[in-house]
Formats: sequence, structure tokens, C-alpha cells
Amino acid sequence: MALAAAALAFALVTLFMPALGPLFARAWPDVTPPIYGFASFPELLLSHAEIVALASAAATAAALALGICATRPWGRDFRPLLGAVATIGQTFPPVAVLAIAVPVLGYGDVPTFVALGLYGFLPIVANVIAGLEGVPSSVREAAEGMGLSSWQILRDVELPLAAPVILAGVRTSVVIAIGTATIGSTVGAVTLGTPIIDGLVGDKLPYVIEGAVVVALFAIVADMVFERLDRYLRRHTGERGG
Amino acid sequence: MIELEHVVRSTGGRRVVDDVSFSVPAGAFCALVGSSGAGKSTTLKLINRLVPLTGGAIRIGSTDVASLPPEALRRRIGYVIQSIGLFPHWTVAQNIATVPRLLGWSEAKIGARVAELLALIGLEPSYAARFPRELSGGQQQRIGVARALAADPELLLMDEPFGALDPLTRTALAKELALIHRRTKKTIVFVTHDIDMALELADVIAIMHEGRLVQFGAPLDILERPASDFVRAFTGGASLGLKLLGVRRVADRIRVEPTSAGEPVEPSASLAEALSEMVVRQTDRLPVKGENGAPGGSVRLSDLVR
Amino acid sequence: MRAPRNAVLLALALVALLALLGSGFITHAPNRLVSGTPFTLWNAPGGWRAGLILTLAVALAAGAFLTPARHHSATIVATASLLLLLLLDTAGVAARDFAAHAPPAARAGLGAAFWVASLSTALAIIDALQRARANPALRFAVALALAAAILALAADGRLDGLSLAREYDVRRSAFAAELLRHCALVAGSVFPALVIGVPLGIFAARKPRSRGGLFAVLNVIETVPSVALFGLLIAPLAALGLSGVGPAPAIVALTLYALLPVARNTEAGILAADTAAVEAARGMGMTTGQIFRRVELPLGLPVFVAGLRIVVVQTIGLAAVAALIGAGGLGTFIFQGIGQYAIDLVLLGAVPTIALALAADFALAMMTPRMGQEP
Repeated sequence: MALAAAALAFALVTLFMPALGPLFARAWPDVTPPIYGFASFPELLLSHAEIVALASAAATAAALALGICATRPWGRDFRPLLGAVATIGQTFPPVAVLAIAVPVLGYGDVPTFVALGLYGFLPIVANVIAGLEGVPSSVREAAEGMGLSSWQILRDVELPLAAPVILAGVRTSVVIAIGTATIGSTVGAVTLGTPIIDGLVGDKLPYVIEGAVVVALFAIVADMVFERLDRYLRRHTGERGG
Repeated sequence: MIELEHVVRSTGGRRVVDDVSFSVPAGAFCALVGSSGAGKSTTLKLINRLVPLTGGAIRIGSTDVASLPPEALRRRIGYVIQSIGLFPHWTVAQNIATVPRLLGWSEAKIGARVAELLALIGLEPSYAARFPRELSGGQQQRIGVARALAADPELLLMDEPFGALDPLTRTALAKELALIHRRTKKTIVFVTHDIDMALELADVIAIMHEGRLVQFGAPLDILERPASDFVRAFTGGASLGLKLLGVRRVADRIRVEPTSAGEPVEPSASLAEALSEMVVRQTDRLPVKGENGAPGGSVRLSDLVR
Repeated sequence: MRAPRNAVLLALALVALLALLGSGFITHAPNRLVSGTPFTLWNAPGGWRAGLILTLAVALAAGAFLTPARHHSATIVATASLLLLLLLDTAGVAARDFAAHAPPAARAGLGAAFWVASLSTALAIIDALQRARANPALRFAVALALAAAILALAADGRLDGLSLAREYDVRRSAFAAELLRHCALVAGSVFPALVIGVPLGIFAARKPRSRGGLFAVLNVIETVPSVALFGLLIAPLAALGLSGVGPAPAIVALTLYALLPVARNTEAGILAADTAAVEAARGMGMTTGQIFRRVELPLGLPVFVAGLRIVVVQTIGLAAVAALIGAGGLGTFIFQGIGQYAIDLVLLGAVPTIALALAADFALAMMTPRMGQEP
């Protein structure tokens, strides 16, 4: 299975990067040490994953909260603006959002986390709204008529039915976050982009390749995991053969 | 069992339901008919408070519907809608079990009830594990009815439940509904714009026009003594006679006399069915089956037009 | 008191007022590297403008109580636009006033109150346009008018005191060059992506069995972070004798990134052409070419152009990252600024990039043919 193969490659490369030292040394003999040494790749991965996970979790929580409010009868007034902000906001290049976070928050992990969270919020909230609004009105009417409370309808009917769409938004958000966190190393965050940037700046190609391969595999595996989740969810909302 | 007293609903300055009062006896099948915009769906939704009451009162049993929290009220009432609205992410069994689960029934009790209801609506037990999207429209709406009956409510509200189905399925389900009504003896309020279906199924009919109740009574009453020209036109105008034949029963016209040859008809059959048989058999006299061992009689063509 | 008809507008106006009353409108720093001390609206020079700003903000709050009607929305848009321009103008005047009494190295920057109030006002404009159900042409016109007004203010020299303007001043020709280079990067990637991607999309639409593999490969490329892709291309390109840095690898990478959206939207556009319509056309005796021109193209074009919009916006953003490998473009200022801890240099790169993306988005939204219109 593609996922297993990719995950295996990812794990091997990350954990055993030093073992590839001789390979890099042979191809680029004048770069020493051949393996990026400021931090080990598992450490870089952990730092990168931490920022992405925290930012995505915060973004998802905020997006769920605001998206649910915007689709309730009492919050409907804010729905058009929220939708417009989500659409227009996604036009902003992620690197610009990161760049703007710096004057306000300084350098390091914090602006990266905030930029990731802010930018990641947008595709998720757009999908929360789309997913919730996609629940057929007949289903909602039947649920209300049967005596389910608003909270029960949200929890047992609307959210499960909207789940695949919401997850697609989270998937987009996480993949973009992994990419933007890579650039975050330019503002001082410790991520898998650090060897890449250091390599580009110092003209040390092996570091660039090492960092690039690990982060590329990270992104690919993450995307594949979401794909699996998506298929699983769709099966359980009765969309495919049950 | 259900009483509507001077019920009023207005929105945007307009009276959608205008001073409607009627009373449905327990166990009766009440059809709420009228053309589009007559206010019949709104009246139905006033009963389970999906739409708030502007004026008047509605009582179920002796309980004012406004005195209960809306969710508690709705869990005591079965509700079937035209667009069916089965939960796509739940199996048939889970759909049917919705209200019993809300009320905290035990799993065993729920399982037994689901099996019982599937039998009632004429579906195999294997349907319990299927998902709604695997079923036809007719099957889905049958599940919708089963779902409404699951918690054994005292009252069933139905809003044009067969409107989205093809004519053949519609007729079949209407017949099944009549059977279910006879077996379960529930009070049913059934909204439809189809006067023929109402005449066929209902014990009592409420005709609405532009928000007002124009006539309330048994099908025969409405056909024989229409309260206004509108009712006369609405109930069929030119085909009134045929509708009367459809509503009147053979038992009303039976002659006690020696039966003639041929397959006897049921006394509960309509005069329309008897007429149809007469045409097919090319005779002006049909034997009628006796009831409870009593000897039967016959029905004659000339009696049909009395 | 009657309930507000527009809770959104009320909230936005209140947020703007709170920000203007509570935080720094303009900052003043002795040089470009240090953060400035904030000055609130009435402490900053600007005279009568402060009062007018607050009045307009209150007027917007009052506007929340108007009944929803097109002409009311128009009034709100006008009031909010005026407020936005006034905020900018006041900032410019305050900055200029500071500059008059301060050494040349001193910098006047925009404070939190300015940003919050401007953002709220901009959102109010967007909200009002939505409530009026303005069509894309009208929204574009409003945006264009605002942009023109802001450019007029800048051209008139009224914004010169601001640190951002100062940074631009120092780098005028470099800015123009990088802006041009940025556009060249975008155009140079989108066109090849169209040339390669459209046939791929058509292929996927005609042969559904191939689409799984094709889109899987393209999706993998899309998932890889941009910096990583730039980095991974260096070695192969070097082997081909091309430089690993500069515009060449950037264009290769940007083209690759654009392939998936182009192919996917081409396929979606073709599939959007109703199969019943195609069947009817074939039944009427149209050739494949005629069917393509008269049925598939008009029906599929809106979907395709919507996809093109996404591609262009995405590429503008990614091109900013390409500055890391020496491809030039507006990203140069962003990363230079980050490296030098010079905030206004960062903004000099970030703000035009955002503006470019928004402009492209707007322009393409305008050009999206609506279904039912004749080509």
C-alpha cells in the first residue's frame, strides 16, 4: 500500500539520516560534515510537527466554534462576512501572513505558530460552513420534528454529516501549515526548513536535499493519512457502500 | 383527542391560519385538505409547535401543547414529512430507534420494537442494517412512518408524506397506511392537497381555504352536503357522483334477497368497486358476502343511483 | 431602543472605536531598527481629522440601525470608504508632522489602532457590499475606486512621512524591477502550466481510468512544501547544466505546482458540460470539434476560469517564496527585511504581494463568464 511504503521511507530517512552520510560525502566531497549537524532530524521533525499540530488544533477549534455560530439562526448575521473573510484571506500568500506576524510578535516559534494558526483557520472555517450548510434541510426538519434538541441535532446529525467536508478543510490547512512552517525557519523557528535555509544561504547543497527530502515525505505521509481518514468517514456517513 | 380552539397564526401581518377550530376524536384519521397556500401545513406544524402559535390554543388529550417544553411534546408525537428526511449516516434500524433512544429505552426493547415495526410496514428484517441511500423512495418513506411510530406516540402528524413518490407507490402506501391505522388505532392528522386520497383514507376531513376552515365532517357529509360552492368545486364538481360512489359502501345498499351466482363482493367494498364489477361481469346484480355467518344478499345497479 | 438590523456593522464599528480610543494610532521611533513609541489618535498631530474620524466611526455604528436597503448599503459603503481614506490621510499627516520636528533617521510607523480600525472599516465595506448583493463588477468598481484614491494620496505625497513610504523611496527602481520580475515569474509559470496541464486535463476527462494515477502523481507534487521542491530541483537541474538558483528552478517548480489545479479544473470543466447536452448535440449531427466549441467550451469555461483564478493567486504567493533561491520578485524585500530586522522592508514586500494577489483574484472573478452568456 502506498501509505505504508511512504511512511516506511519517511521513518527510515528521518531516523537513519546519519547513515546516508557517506553517500552525500561522495557526491559533495567539499561539504563537511555531510549531514546537517545543528540538530538531529528527529529533533527537527518533532519541533516542526509540534508547531503544525498546535497551530492546526487551535485553528480547528476556532473554526468549529465560529463556523457553528455562523450557521445557527442567531449567528446568521455574521455568516456572509465570515465567508467573505475566509475567501479573501485565502488569497493572501501564506508567506506574507508569516512576514506580517514578525513585526507584531518578534522572531522564533511564536509568530510562526500565530501565522500558521491564523492562515490555517481560513480553509477550515470555509469548510465548516459549507459542510454544515450542506446537510439536507429535510433531515434537519425531520430531526426537529421528532423532538431532538438543537444541541442533539448539531452533535448527532449535522456534525457527523458535515465531517467529511470539514476534514477536507483540515487536510488542506495542515498541508499548507507544513509548508509554511518550513519557511518559518527564516524567522527563527526550528523546523525542517532550517537545514534547507541554512544550506541555501551557506551554499551547502546536501543540507538542502536532506531537509527537503524529510519534509517532503512528512507532507506526503500526512496527506495520505488524511486521505485514509476521509475514506473511512465517508463510509460511515453512508456515502459509499456501507 | 386533539382540539384546536380559535387557532391563529400570522406572519408579516398576514393571517396564514385564521381562527381555525375543530376537534379530532381519538383514533380517528383526520385529513387536512386544501389547495396550496391554504394554511394546512402550517396548521399541522402548530400542533407540534414547529411553528409558534399567534393566538388560540391547541390541546392534545387534556394537555395544552404550550404547557410542555417543545422537545418533550414532539417526542410524544410521530412526524412524517414529504421529503422523508431519513438520517443518511445511520442505518434503517438506527433511524427507527431515534426517539426510543432519546427516551432511554433499553437496547433489547429497542431491538424488539424495530423488528416489530419492520414487520408492520412489510419489510424484511434484513433491511435493518441497510442505509437509506440503498432504498427506493417508497421504502424510505415506509421507514419514515416506522420511525414516527417507534416510540408508540398517541398521535401521528403527516405532511403530504407521499407527495414525492410516483403515483403507483403513492397508491400502495396509502393502502398500507389505512391498514396500519386500522391495526394501531392511532389518531392521525394527514395533510394533503389530494381530495381523493382524503376521501379514501379519512374518517373526518377538514377543508381549508386561505387560512380559514370552510368545512369539517365525514367524507360522505362533505360530498352530500358541501358547505359552499368552493367546497363543491374542490371536492370534484363534475365527478362528484363518481366520488360519492367511491365513498358509499355496498353494505349501505344491500338487499336481503337470495344471492345470485358468481363471486360475492365484500359488504365493505365501495359502490364504485361494485359498479366496476358489474361492468366487467356484464350484469346488473352482484351477490354480497354475508357477515359473521349471516346470509348475504345482493346489490343492484338501480340501487347505486339512489 | 430598537434592535440593530446589522449586528456585524455595529460590532465592527465598536471594535474600531475601541481601538482608536484605546491604543496607539501612530508610532514614532528614532530609527528604522527600533520599535516606536505609540501615540493615540488625539495625541498625534492631525487636528480636526481626529474628531472627524471618531464622528464617522460613530456614524457607521448608527448605520447598523438602518433598515436593510440598497441605498442604505451604498451610504454605508461611502461612509466607510471615506473613513478608510481619512485614516490613511491622517496617518500621513501625523507622520509628516513628526518628520518635520525630528532627525532624518527617525521613523513614523502605523500603530495598532490604525490597523484595527482600517481592517474593521474594510470589513464593513465588504459586509455592506454583500448585503446589497452587489455583483462582481460593482465590487470591482468599488475596490478600484478605493485603490485609485489611495494611490492618489500616495502620489500627492501625503503619505511620504510614513516609514513604509520612506523604505519605498529609497528603493524605487529596485521595487519596480522586482515587481516586474515577480509578474514575469507568475506569467512564465502559468502559461507553461496551461500548455501542459490543459491537455492532461482533457486526457483525464476522456480516459477516466488514467485519472487516478495522474492525479496521484500531481497531488504528491502539490503536497511537497515549496521550499523543499525548490531545494530538490537544484541537483537535477545542475546535472542538466542549469543553475540551481535564480529564476529557472523557480519557474520549473512553480509550473509543476500549477499543473494539478490546471489539470483538475480542465477535467472538471469538461465534465461540467452536461452529458445530456453533449448527447443531444451529437444527435443533431455536430462534429466533435463543433460540440467542443459550442457545447463543452461555453458550459465548462466558468469552471475552468474559476480554477485559473486559484492557480494565478497561488502562483503569486509561491513566487514570493522563490526569492529564497534568488529568483527575485517581491519576496526579496520580505526576506531582506526579515534578515535585517527591518519591519517596513518586510511590509514593502508583503503588502504589494497581497495587493497583487487580491487584484488578480478580483480581475479574474470579473472575467469568469457566467453560465448562459454567449461566448
